[in-house]
Amino acid sequence: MAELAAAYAGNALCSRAPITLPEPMANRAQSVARSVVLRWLRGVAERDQDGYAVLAGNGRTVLVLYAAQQAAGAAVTRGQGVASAVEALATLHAAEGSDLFVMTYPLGDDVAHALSGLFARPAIRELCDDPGPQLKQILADRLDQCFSGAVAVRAAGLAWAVLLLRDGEVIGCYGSDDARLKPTIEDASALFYLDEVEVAVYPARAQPELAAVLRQGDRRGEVGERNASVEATELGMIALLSALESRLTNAQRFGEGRPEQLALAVAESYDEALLLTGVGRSLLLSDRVGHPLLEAHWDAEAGRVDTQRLLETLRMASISDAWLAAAEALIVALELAVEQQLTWVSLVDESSSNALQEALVELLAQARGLIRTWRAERDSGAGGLPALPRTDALALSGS
Amino acid sequence: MTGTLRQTPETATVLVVDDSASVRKLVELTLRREGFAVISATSGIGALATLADTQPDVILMDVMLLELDGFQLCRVIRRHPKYENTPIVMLSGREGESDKAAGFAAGVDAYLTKPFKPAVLVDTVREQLTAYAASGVA
Repeated sequence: MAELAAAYAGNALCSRAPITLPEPMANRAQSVARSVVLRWLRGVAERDQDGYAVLAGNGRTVLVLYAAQQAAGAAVTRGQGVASAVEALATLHAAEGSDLFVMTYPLGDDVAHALSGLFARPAIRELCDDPGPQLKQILADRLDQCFSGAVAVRAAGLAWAVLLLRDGEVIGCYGSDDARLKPTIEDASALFYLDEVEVAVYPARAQPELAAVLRQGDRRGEVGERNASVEATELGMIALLSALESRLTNAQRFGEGRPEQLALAVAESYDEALLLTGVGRSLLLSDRVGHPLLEAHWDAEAGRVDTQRLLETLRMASISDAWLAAAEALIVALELAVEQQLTWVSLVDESSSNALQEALVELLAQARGLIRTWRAERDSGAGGLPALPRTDALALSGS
Repeated sequence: MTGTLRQTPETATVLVVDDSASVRKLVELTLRREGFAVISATSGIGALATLADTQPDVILMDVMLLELDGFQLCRVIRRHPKYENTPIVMLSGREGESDKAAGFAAGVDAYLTKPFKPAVLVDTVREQLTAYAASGVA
């Protein structure tokens, strides 16, 4: 066996993806506001116990592994790197930009712990020119030592496999042929008969400093306080969406001033969504919506659209199309603001968050449906703007 | 209204009748988080079909319904001996006094207007259940 002198480059199983984990079926795929992402991750780790999350946004992808409810590994797998795993995790919420898109993957008992070693330098790295017996010997040594961790085997080409061990017993294997974790070592056995393979041994490791980042990422809202705060937000969201429904219905009945009423309705709801942060939380900053009308009325200091100034501008212009354009842009701003609130609610009550999300989607579809209908009326020259069906009926018909 | 939510979970069943999917979801969420069982219908006719199979403890309905409006639905329900005393709460976007009068004339026990406040909705349902139980009819 020849010891490799190559400099550590992460788990070099795949040059384009330094860390390659098994791929079970994802159990979550959603966007999460950066400002709450660490708290959200902590909630996921507490609920799933073992698994990992892939967080993508602003050209960077971060992988976070959690074992027994604690962060056990973190790495930047795409985009600009950082000096350490702690930094990768700690800077998740600090960077400016839009929401992160997140997928989470549950793992079985002890699997995540065994994988934790992949996030660090291997304890042993060897080139085997007679893989059959040499690999068997390496594995036999691990079994004797009651080893817990991962053994990665890579052939000269792209073939690779990772064997996971717990207390000297193989608990799973995955590889280039099939990234799903399987209880047998079939994926690795084919590599035993090649001329030359590289073997790296990664002992499982606890990362207390990383776990601390997740625990201390945001100390606001520990259990009791958070529950009260989230409950208040949940009730506030119900009232907000109920008010939005009434405003949309009223805007539709308003006759010629309907576009203006619609813009006012959405603007009021947007303002209310941002006000819901006053219950034990820091100020919720609105996401910027890349619309010229909103950009021109963006209050950088407050981190939100200045709706009062926007509405004044629109009143001066008094153009129906401008009201519709503003309503359309404000719908996006409202959607982003409410979704931040729902992320907060989902930390303790996912089913409530889902129900509110569904109600939001339906209401915004109604609002967008009104805009489409009014524009179609304008384009067809229907000057009188004939009475529209109720917003509720629009929603029921799926429009 | 006291707004003391989640302190006394109920086991009552509430039938929610509203043609707006978003309103149904919000009302269902409000009641379920307080421990109520909720069944729902999207129209007056649908509500009658549900009432043939299930006996809710409270009926919560909108006025603007497809096929059969809330006032008509209320009158039909009240004619049925099984439901002549079941609390009916109207939840409507129509807030005129004449609308409220029409609701009470049709047989509703309480009239709430949209948009609703969760605490007010829950308190009203609880008050109606308490009054119904106290009347000895239940």
